[in-house]
Amino acid sequence: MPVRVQEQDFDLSAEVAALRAGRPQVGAVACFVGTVRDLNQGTGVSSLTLEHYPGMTEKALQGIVDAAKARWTLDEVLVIHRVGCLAPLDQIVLVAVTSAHRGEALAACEFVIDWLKTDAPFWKKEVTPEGARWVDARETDEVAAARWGGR
Amino acid sequence: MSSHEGDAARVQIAGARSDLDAWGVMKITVLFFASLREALGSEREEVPAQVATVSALRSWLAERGGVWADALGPGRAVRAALDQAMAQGDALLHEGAEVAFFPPVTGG
Repeated sequence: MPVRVQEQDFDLSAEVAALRAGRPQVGAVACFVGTVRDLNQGTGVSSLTLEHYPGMTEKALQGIVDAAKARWTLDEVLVIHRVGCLAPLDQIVLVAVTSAHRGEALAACEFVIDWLKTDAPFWKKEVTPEGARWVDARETDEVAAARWGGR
Repeated sequence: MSSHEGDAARVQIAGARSDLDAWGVMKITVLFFASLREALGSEREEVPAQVATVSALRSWLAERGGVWADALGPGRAVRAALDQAMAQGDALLHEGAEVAFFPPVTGG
């Protein structure tokens, strides 16, 4: 499955090995791993909960993967996004892209995470010393996605 | 509470006329996520909507007042999906549609 939404952690090495297995045409692997920070907007974060929209989430991620594959010549794209309760240092998201050449793999990897940030239905709720709070969307994420000039 | 209102609306409209479709009354499933779900105390409702678009449905729900007006009123950052795809306010509803309202997403 090129798109997975799961509670359990993932192993970057194992995922990349599976993506490359038996595919000698691949000359480049680009990966992005998002992780939980212990500080957000000046406040300590002790844990966070990730909520999503089952059904739509998978479709949204697949749509972004399809758009990347239409835009660049890629071998494979893998997206894993965790949900549920996470703590600082935990991995949240993996985007891995394989291609014949680095330029396309690197660009497509950034494209996928940029669109995931604005179009995939996930929401973070942080636990801080002042209590739990829903994370506000960042305008910089909209700007990052917009610079691709649409999907 | 909301299901009572929904039933009342349905009865009233059904009493007026039996061919509901001709009146544009559609059964819509509405979902709420994250801070909206918490503020409204609701995650899923079936509503008989006599509205044509996603934004009209939002306004119709906001007219319930109280937390509904606070969470869904104009000026609040609310995003919507229709049939599990991001939708603009002018997206047209249809019988059996699934509409979701939620705050801007924060994954990744």
